[in-house]
Amino acid sequence: MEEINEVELQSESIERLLNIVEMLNNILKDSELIKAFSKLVVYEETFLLIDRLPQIIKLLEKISRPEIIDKLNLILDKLSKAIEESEKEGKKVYSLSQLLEMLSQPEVSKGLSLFLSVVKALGSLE
Amino acid sequence: MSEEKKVIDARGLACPGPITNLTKAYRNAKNGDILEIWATDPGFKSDIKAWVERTKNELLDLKEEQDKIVAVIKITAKK
Amino acid sequence: MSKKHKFLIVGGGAGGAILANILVANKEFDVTLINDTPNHYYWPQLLQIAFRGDYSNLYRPLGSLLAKGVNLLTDRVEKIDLGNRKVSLKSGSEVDYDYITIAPGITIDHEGIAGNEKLVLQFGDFYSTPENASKVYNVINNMNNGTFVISVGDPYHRCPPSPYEGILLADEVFRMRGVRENVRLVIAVPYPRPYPAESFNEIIEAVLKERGIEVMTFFTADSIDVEKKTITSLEGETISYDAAIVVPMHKGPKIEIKPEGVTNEDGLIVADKFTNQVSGYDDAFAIGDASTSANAKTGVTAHLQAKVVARRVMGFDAKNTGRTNCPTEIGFEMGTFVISDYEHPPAKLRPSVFNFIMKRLFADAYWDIVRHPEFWDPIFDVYFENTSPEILWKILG
Repeated sequence: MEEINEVELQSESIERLLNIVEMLNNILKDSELIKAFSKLVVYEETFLLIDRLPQIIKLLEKISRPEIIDKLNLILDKLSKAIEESEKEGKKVYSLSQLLEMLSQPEVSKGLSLFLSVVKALGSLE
Repeated sequence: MSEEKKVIDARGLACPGPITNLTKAYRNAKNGDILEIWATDPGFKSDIKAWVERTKNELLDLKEEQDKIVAVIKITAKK
Repeated sequence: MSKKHKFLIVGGGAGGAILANILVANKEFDVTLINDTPNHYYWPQLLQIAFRGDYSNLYRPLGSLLAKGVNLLTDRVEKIDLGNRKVSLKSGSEVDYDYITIAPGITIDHEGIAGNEKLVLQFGDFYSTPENASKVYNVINNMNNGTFVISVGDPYHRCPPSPYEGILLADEVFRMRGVRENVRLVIAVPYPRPYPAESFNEIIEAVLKERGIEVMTFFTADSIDVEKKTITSLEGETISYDAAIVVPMHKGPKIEIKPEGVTNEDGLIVADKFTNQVSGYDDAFAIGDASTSANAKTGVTAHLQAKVVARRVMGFDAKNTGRTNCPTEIGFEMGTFVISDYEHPPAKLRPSVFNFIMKRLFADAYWDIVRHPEFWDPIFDVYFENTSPEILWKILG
């Protein structure tokens, strides 16, 4: 069995490290690459975004609270189901009596009162 | 004048593609030579028709076999 | 101790050097590599010299790229006798082998197209030498008006995207110099459309159109009249130019290989498209630009073929997949890749800055990639798997 020469292994590792440094040097000296990278990453908007990072993070924190996420998921599910159903039913023209009948349904009247409170909240915005 | 028949097997080539093999062979071909090209690239059928029309060579046969497209052309337009 | 197999590699380009570095790690093989010059060239740099005047990354001493244990002979191979397993060198010595891989690359033959040798003296090209590439740079930077033509003479040239890269990078230089309006740019190709593969043509044709570059189809450069400044095609048409580059004839290596019939009429070595094996010899392989088993003459192809040969001689049934991964620059820090394999035409990868960055990173890491395949190949395996044409077609359509 071949003996493991520690000194040889060490010098191989150092050589490998030097190769890697050389390659990184090559990359950093590559002006075309630097140009392209800055084209990708450097916009006026990038700097503005970085400036506003604290506010963005605060906003993201609010949006990502578990209760909010759960509610959003629920709303999304319900909405997509509703859209699917109405697409199945196709174009429908409601008569006045049909509309009145719908209002008596508990979900419709609950939804309508929710809708009205949203309208009220929006209306109270200065 | 001796006529040569040459088979160009361009099956399984998608890029650059069979039309490249044909162009390459065309350089050494003489009037009267027959070139038979096998290809699997489906676009080859319209390519060979366009090539024959544009270069004014003769398309003798163009058929689809089970595993390949076979085009047979006669070189007539070389100067 | 069992005797080591003598593995001989003819040619220290991308294919040969990487093969040597993979094999030498296996104690079964005693690896010798023969190259005619002391240096290893990164040929894609010719494009950078021609259009950016950038000579960095052009070559390094081959010895610095080979792992310890590879015997390097700097000599010219003149004869290969496959039957007797012997190779004759210019210096007069002979080397015998148990296995051989022939990877000497192609020879550019300017005289293969009448008038090309004169044309290249005037305007250069980016297929032969750094000197010829620097001629192109001079032309592009001193031309203020007229017609600039890139015309494909040999459709089996190195680097399938290169003529398009050339005309697009020329366009970039003319624009940056402020003279683009006065220069007419033309690319003439033998195919029915700009790029031979239909799917990738969708991408490249759109770019050429956007940049106002004229395309002449069904035009295979056949002769050049440098007095009249015209190029005539096999198909019987003629174009006039003020400056022109013709993609020259690519021929096989100037090596006498016995027996006859192993090389085809262009001098390329006939090898199996899946195994790289030279027909009739289970101890001889041919890879890279000089072999018919390369569906594209690119470094990536040679690299992947080297891997297949190494695996095969170690007893695995590895096969070429025909995978291409050709970086295609279109100027203005944008690029794309031609990604295809034997089973799939090129995916419709749209140009982006990101792709250009990937191309530059590959180029900058090239020397390390050659020297340390044991490090890079696992990374590339993952990259190739996840960017397989099959997957890309599903995503891109």
